[in-house]
Amino acid sequence: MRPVQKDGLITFAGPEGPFRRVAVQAPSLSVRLRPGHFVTAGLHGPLRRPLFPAAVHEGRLDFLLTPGHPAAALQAGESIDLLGPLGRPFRLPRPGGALLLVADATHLPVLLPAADRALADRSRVALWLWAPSARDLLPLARLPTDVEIQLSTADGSAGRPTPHLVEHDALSGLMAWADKVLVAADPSGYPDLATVVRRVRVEGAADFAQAVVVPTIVCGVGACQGCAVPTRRGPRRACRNGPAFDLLELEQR
Amino acid sequence: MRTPAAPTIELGPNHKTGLQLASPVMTAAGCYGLGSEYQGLVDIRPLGAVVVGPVTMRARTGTTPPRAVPLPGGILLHAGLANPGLKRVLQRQRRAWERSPVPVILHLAATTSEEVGAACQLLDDTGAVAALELGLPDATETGEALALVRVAGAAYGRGPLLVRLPLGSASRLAAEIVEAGAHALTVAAPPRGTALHAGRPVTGRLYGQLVHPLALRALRQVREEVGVPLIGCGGIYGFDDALAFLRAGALAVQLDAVIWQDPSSAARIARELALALSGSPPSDDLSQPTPPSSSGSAS
Repeated sequence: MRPVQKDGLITFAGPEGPFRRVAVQAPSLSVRLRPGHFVTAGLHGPLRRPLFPAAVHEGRLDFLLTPGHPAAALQAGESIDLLGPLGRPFRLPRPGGALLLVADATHLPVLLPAADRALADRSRVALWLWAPSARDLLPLARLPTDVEIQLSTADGSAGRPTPHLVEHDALSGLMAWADKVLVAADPSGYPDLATVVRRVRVEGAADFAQAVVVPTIVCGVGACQGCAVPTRRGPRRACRNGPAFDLLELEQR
Repeated sequence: MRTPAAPTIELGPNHKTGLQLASPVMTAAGCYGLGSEYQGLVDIRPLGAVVVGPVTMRARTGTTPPRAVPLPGGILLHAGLANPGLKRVLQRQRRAWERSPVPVILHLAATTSEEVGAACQLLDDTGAVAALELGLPDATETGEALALVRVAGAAYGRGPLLVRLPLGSASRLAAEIVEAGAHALTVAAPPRGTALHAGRPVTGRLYGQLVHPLALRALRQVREEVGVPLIGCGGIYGFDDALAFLRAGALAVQLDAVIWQDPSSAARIARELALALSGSPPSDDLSQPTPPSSSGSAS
């Protein structure tokens, strides 16, 4: 679907856990967005900033922004210049299937629309979530109760104490259960996750595990070639071929 | 919105077919893709032309990422001429270009004489575009640059040959490039710089508002050297930036990174310029280059 550039009206801006929630009324954009799509916002700087909706409903986009994000300073009543949808949607399991989400606390909002869509498709959804500490977590009440959550934190303040996102044995079990896996985390953990996928899926289907990579987005529409991500098939543009790539195709460093 | 009629601009007065533009505003190579990427986002109808590419004869994968480094006030980008090669580009885009409401100018990145010659011959045979813009390598020696222009001019005659000059050598090369066959000059390619990305140096082209004074200075210098149409390019973010190029002697302008920042700005700038050009009294006719003056000689 071709992207459009539209002004949206900010109807709410306020804290939600460690994030700032910015709700934008943008009907013509919201009907175009699928889970995995992103938009860019014109925010007075030389570059538009990528934004991933955490929820899309009834003409409204909800963004959960980290405090340092340039759009986090916006207030209710202001307008925001948005361009989208951009990127390729997630490849979700067939209706009734099993979806595993793997995220760290910062990147979790990127995956939330996929959870909503999968549940609407009567799929089962499990979330493997890691955070440095409980204070870094989105209020878990925000997540649908149908989502099974496996939580760990580095300091043990919530869930199991685990120093890193990846726990090979526990994740192996979940990956064996899943039909699709979506990952949004610090990419430095992706090689470790790819090892788990290879252990579980000797001949894994393409896009079984999809990992979000968001480099600097320049044009966002495929014109400038600037957002290329190294993959086993050569550089691939995050704005056209991503931002979710087959985890096993991402070049291992 | 209806755009006021601006005076027609002739970018190729010394070419057999010429290239008439209804507006002095164009897109710049490297920023607008091949045209289809911005379909529906950039309203090109108020523009004079679109410059698509860069394209090379042979396919190029481009540089290993990271390719872009955000900077205060701008961006550094090095895509390494990533493109699928001219033949594939023509297969995909030719019909769309033929239906374009404004002339399409293809930017051919000058690599080797052999590749440039082959590409220009193919473009001449197909007539897929209204004109050709040859982008010279930044570190090119004068002799090498002249050879590339001569090869292009010998193989491509369907439309005017525009040559985009490197910023750092624009005034040095301009006169000889025109003598070698260029019908118009684009001043200039974005300058190159190096920035750190995660501690690693990345070298590429610089885009941003600070490029505007550099390109404007180069254009004023080139204006002193040649009489062919000049196209100002670099750091245009609004109507005033574009007008500054026209007042300095450019006949047309190219928009680069502003399209990334706000795709709707291209049509807006073109309409604002059209209003200014159509509404100006004859003594302020901005459709003609401002003659160079002694005070305009930049040092």
